[in-house]
Amino acid sequence: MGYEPVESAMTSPAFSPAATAAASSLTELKSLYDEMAQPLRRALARLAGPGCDADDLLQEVFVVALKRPEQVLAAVSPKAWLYGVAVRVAAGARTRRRFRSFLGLESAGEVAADDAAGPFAAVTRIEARAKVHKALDALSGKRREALVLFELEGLTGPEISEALDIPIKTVWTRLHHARKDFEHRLKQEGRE
Amino acid sequence: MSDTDTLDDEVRPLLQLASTPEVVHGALELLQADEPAVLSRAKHEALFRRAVEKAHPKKVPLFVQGLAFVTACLIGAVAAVQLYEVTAVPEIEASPGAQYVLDGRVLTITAGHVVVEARRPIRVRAGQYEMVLTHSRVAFDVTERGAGFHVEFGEGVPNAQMLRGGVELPPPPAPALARVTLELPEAPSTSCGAGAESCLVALAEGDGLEAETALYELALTAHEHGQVRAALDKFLEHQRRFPDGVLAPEASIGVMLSHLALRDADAAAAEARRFVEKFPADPRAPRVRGLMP
Repeated sequence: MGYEPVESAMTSPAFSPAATAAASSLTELKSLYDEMAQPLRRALARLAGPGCDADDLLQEVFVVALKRPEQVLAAVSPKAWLYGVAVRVAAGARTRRRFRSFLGLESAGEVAADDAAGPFAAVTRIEARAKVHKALDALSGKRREALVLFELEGLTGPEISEALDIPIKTVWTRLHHARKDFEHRLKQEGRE
Repeated sequence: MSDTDTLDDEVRPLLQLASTPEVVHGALELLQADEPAVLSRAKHEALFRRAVEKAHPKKVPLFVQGLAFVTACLIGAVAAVQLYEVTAVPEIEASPGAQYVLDGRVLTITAGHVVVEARRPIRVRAGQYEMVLTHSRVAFDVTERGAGFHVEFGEGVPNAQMLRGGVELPPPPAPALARVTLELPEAPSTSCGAGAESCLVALAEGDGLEAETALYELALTAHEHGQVRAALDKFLEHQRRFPDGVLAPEASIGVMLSHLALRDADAAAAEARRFVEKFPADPRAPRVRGLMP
């Protein structure tokens, strides 16, 4: 499947080095997209919380990347750069959702049902998952980002440091507090 | 291996031990299983294509932008003109029987109760008053005795004297000869068609019954349009040129009513006296006597 900018760059009568570079960076970004789309979608769904449209957020992340191809491709870790954008995009989505929810335009997101293991198990599982989501949601944005990127997305400390643009020690401190806070909130949820 | 990698390896196990990761991991495993469904190939490609389109939107040609700008300006101008036209027309509420003429920005009220609400400046002539109204609502009462008005809101400037909302000027007190029940009879028809003023003027300059009738009709028309001074001049001209004419009594009544409209009670009484002396057998004479002090 071709993309217009690539095609126009290649077939344009004013075929220039700049156009060639643009086409080349687009091809590289496409490869990055093919590789990262699914993990980023998953991370966005977890960071933005239930009820978000992960596809829209993924598109938003790549709109940012396509507007600044030189930054993505020159980054030490393009993957970390993309996660950094994803964190900000998810934070924006959470803010928008809180605002819409405050205005009564949107109800709280529902956790998807999963009844493969029978109705009783499904209910228990949905309840447990809802509690984990609630505990995760209750964390501050910074702690949630560190926890999700490290524990769920499997990013390394240096990658998180680059993605969030913070020192590595801060990553570990945040992660430490995030775990303690998360555990505390989980216990609270368990008692309720 | 970089410094950060070393730090990673050194610190991570300690932190993991310090925060009971089993509980955390156990809970997070639930979420790990909660992975969104894999995108279909078509949707995967479509998402990227849309992102490319959003990141590099097609530029609208300059002439289209210009055209849109000009169109918007035109629509704005038309809307402004429409708005001006709508607000330029004053709102007039007239009670049954009220008489008024709106001629451009001049409203002449000759009789009855008329409420005028003006958003743009308008000149109102009502009896003895000539008033400019802007952003105001004024109720006028015009009688044979004269005009009174009430400024409901805004400002009225009658005869160069500014009055603010809430002010009320009642009609002047009735003159001694007020109770007049006389009416000016209609003029007999002439060879001119209805409303052909130039024809009537030409006819009035001649002699005979046609000229007399035309002059009377001109005077009557002026009176009906509230041009009392002009009507009086015509009636006086009629009296001068046709003192013994067929319409002499009517012209005399016209003079009387014009004097009354101009609040000149003495002149009206003098004319009434003359009428009674000159036309004692006229069926209207008893009523005319009522005008005399």
